[in-house]
Amino acid sequence: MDTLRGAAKLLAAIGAAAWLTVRAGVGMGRRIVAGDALARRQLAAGLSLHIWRPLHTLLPLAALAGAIAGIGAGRLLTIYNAQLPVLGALAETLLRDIVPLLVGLFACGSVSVALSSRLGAMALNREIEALETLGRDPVAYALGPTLAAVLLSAPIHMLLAGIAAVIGCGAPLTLIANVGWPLWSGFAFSHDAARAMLVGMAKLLLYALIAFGVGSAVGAKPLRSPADIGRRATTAFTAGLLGIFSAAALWTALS
Amino acid sequence: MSALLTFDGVSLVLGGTRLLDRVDLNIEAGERVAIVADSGAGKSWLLRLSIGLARPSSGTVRLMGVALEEADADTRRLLRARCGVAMQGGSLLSDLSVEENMRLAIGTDDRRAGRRIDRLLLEYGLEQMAATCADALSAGERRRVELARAFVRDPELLVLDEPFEGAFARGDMLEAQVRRRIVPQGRALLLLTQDRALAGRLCERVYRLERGRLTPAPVQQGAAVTVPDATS
Repeated sequence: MDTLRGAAKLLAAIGAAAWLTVRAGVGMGRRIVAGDALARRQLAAGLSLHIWRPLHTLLPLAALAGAIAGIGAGRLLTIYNAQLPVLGALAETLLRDIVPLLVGLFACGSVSVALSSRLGAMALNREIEALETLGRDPVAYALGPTLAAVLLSAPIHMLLAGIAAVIGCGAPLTLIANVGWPLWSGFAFSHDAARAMLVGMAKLLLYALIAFGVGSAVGAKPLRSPADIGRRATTAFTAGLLGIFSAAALWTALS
Repeated sequence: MSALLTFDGVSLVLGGTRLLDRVDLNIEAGERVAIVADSGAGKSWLLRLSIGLARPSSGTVRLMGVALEEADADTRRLLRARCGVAMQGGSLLSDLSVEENMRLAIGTDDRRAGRRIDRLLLEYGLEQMAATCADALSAGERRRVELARAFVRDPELLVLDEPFEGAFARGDMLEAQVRRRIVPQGRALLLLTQDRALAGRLCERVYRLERGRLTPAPVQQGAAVTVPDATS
């Protein structure tokens, strides 16, 4: 009985997240088409928050993830002299699986937590009610700019984090396995690697949507006290992680 | 005259307490009605019910002739956009500037709207604060912005909940401004307040909300509404 109840709750949460995401997208689209100056300003603020500010942390993280993968691959190459399959697989795995997951986790930490906290604060300050009072759709105003910024951030983050990871991977490969930069870059910037990067971007878009959906669905729940905001942020983060890892596992299994 | 706001046998039960008990109220175009009640008597719930932010336990609320319980969310928003509302406790969006809060209410970016906003900001002594973020305002300034915002869309019906709360020294000025925007222009007003004298000064009909029931209260002697020079 508890399992059934849990499954029903999960389905309701997924439905709420999907509904809020679609409504935010449609509402933001309408505002942009209508030439809403406030929407443009909110989007500019969202782009700064969700694209440029995370890069300070995201790029070093991606380089470090690349370095870890490079150390492992370098050690393997010192034992087995199989540069062609190892370097090819390394470049593709890095760009198709590791970097998207890393950036997705980062998005989960920033987008879902920030969104659930912001919606909670807005609800406590009665700003959601204020938007309704003015006859505005709170979803389009509170979530729309964030959704647009998050979706625009996905390809940019994937591209820059991918390059950072490739550079981070190249250093240990040279030091441990004596793989020169021209050889490694030949694999890292090949057609196959570019295809892997595109798949990675598609995955990251999905992860970003999951982070957004979870953050908005958790944040939209009614609050009783300011302490609930912190609890909701934790819930959003853990639920987002679960959602992103489930999507990653499902994608890998089906591809 | 057509009714702008109608409460027809409206009851509201919250947490086992009957906050409103078969409330009947009718506000026609141009009428000014006050509901006087103590703190916690349900004034803010009356505001929420009147603009469709809450559903009654029983009875019907009609805004501009539309039953709010039967209307979809978009229709309710369209109806709300025709009202000017100032809620108790404030309702500004804190990450937007004063001017953006006003623009959000007016809904357009054209020059005419800009001029209207400038004029209202000037009237309420806020002309220096147009670019100030709402969360940097004092309580009194926030209240003035909310009152100015309530008038920005040229509303047919105003619903004001404790409109001069926190205004302190500027209370008289604000009252004069609000009266000047309502009385000569024939706008309907639902005033929710604890201040019986204020209710008498601004409204033609005054009710008392007690134990969930509305009872007519006599308008205070010498508190007749005077119509100041109309310059809007």
